[in-house]
Amino acid sequence: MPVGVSPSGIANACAKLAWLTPLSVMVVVGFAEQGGRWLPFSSETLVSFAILAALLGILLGLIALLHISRGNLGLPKRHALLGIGAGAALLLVAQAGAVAGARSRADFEPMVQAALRDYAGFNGGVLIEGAAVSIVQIDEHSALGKFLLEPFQHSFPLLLVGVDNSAGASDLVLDLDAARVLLRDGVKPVLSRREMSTEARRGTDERLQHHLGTYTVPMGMRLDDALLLLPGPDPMPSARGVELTVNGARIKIPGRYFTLADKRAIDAAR
Amino acid sequence: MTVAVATPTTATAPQAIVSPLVDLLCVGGLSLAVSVPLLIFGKVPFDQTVPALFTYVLTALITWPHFLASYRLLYSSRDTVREHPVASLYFPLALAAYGMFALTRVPDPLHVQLLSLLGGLYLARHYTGQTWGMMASFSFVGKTPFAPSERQICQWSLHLMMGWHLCWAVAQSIGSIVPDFEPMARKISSLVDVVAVVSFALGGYGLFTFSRRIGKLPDLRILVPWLALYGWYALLRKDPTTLVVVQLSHALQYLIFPLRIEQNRTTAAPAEQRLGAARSSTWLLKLTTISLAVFAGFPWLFRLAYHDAGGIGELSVAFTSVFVSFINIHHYFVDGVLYKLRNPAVRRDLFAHLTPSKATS
Repeated sequence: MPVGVSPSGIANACAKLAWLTPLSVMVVVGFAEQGGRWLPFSSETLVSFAILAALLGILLGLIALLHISRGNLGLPKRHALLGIGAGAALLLVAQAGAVAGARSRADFEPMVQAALRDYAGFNGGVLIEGAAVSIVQIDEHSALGKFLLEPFQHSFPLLLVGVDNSAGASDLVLDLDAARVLLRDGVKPVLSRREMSTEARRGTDERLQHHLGTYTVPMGMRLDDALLLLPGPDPMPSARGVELTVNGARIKIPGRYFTLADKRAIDAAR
Repeated sequence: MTVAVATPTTATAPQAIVSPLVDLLCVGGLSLAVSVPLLIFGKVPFDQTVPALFTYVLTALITWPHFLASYRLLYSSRDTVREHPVASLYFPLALAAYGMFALTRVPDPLHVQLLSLLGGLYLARHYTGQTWGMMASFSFVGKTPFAPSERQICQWSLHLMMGWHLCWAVAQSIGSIVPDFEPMARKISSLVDVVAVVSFALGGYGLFTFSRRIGKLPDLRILVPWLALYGWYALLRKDPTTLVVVQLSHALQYLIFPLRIEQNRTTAAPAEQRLGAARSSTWLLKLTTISLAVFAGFPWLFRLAYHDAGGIGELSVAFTSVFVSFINIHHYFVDGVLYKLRNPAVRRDLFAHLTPSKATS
């Protein structure tokens, strides 16, 4: 007797896979929140997997529903609908995140460009085990500077520390608590995290929470907005570097101060 | 009116939701074993003395599954969804709409913080309401139901603690919404401990009259959840960062109930079925896996997609906050709707394993 695949068999298999596929990928994404260091995927890969799983879940759910309508099976129908729903929710969240991220970049980009182009400031960077650690001074009077200083009661000279760990070999832990500016004739400590917390306006806890401990940048990820506040007056014109802690070791980030004339000259030479 | 009431009379059936010992440990025994030493010896702040990963893992194993368990009870059958349309559809839709509105207002954090405050306030009702649910359930399981006056006294003691919790929660969060109110809220919160003392005395009196009427000490599974609640609030007064311990204790207290309901709903002859370790572990493992995908996966996916697209700023943090508030508030609402012991269907689901129902007037 010939053995074939019955429509109800296809429906059952598709219905199960419809919800299992997005679920499996989301388990991995959920695990990545704390265990990203043990996963061999970059954040882009994870998002792509999630979108793919969502589309697959919807497709399998639809195939299952097409076959179920003939067989009228209760549980597979629920599984298929669950798969379609889970896939749609996953797509929605991933797309909402991407759209909001792109809009945020579009909003910030002019502010960032203006802060770097129209104001003098310090710039430095170093490579640590494949991760690029950079420091850029944002003038406190620039639009970006004002935005970044919104949560604080006073204005400060400020530096943004960025880490691009997309090509890094391991997670990177950035500790800015005991960072200090290396001057030509000495050093100047930055505000500690506790001092930053004391300087915070009421009601800004949520916005500052991210800055009050160490910053962990998982392998494959970036960090663009680690904050360093400096006690005034601005010491950076005579700075030759910044010392901070990366993965428990003290690291010097060399750099120099660029006057507005320096920046204009560089722009003109491009 | 004739109402089907399950009266636990079968000699062979365990007079328990899982077993007397497991019940006792879950409804507050373990919580007291942790909170009392923490109260006496615990260093402040708690969150800096315990590895964050440890509390995260416990949250993933206990707190998240307790959310999912209540969702499962609500959404696993079409009948339940139809029976509770507000809890299953209208309320979550309205809450989600407000959550989306809150996100559109970022970087203004007001509505995100309002949702968070709402969750904190609703929690007061949720914790004290569940404590009464534990006491009432085990008075039923132990065949020593509360008399109306005793029930009223005990419930009033819990209402007073709800007031304490509300004052505490406002003092914790109001500063981020209306900073000018914070000093007053903190002042009120510092004075409200006297309410806790009155509440304890009132509840103690209620339990004393209950004990005198039944002629013996109440079942420990009635006393322990009540005591545990005061342990939680004492801990929160000492150190607000112990909230995670309280959340875990509350979730553990809750978990055995949906476990029992699922068992009773899916077993033809519940009285013949025991809730074994293997079955319970499998149930918990499934819930943990799915809740990891939902409660950690969705906020993290948003964050990854947001930052990959070049997003800067607090929106991804705000998304997580709104997501957590949504789950919390909806869960409190769902529980308030699902667990009514006066509902015969709830009693049947919870106590069917004790004995077959009999009709009483």
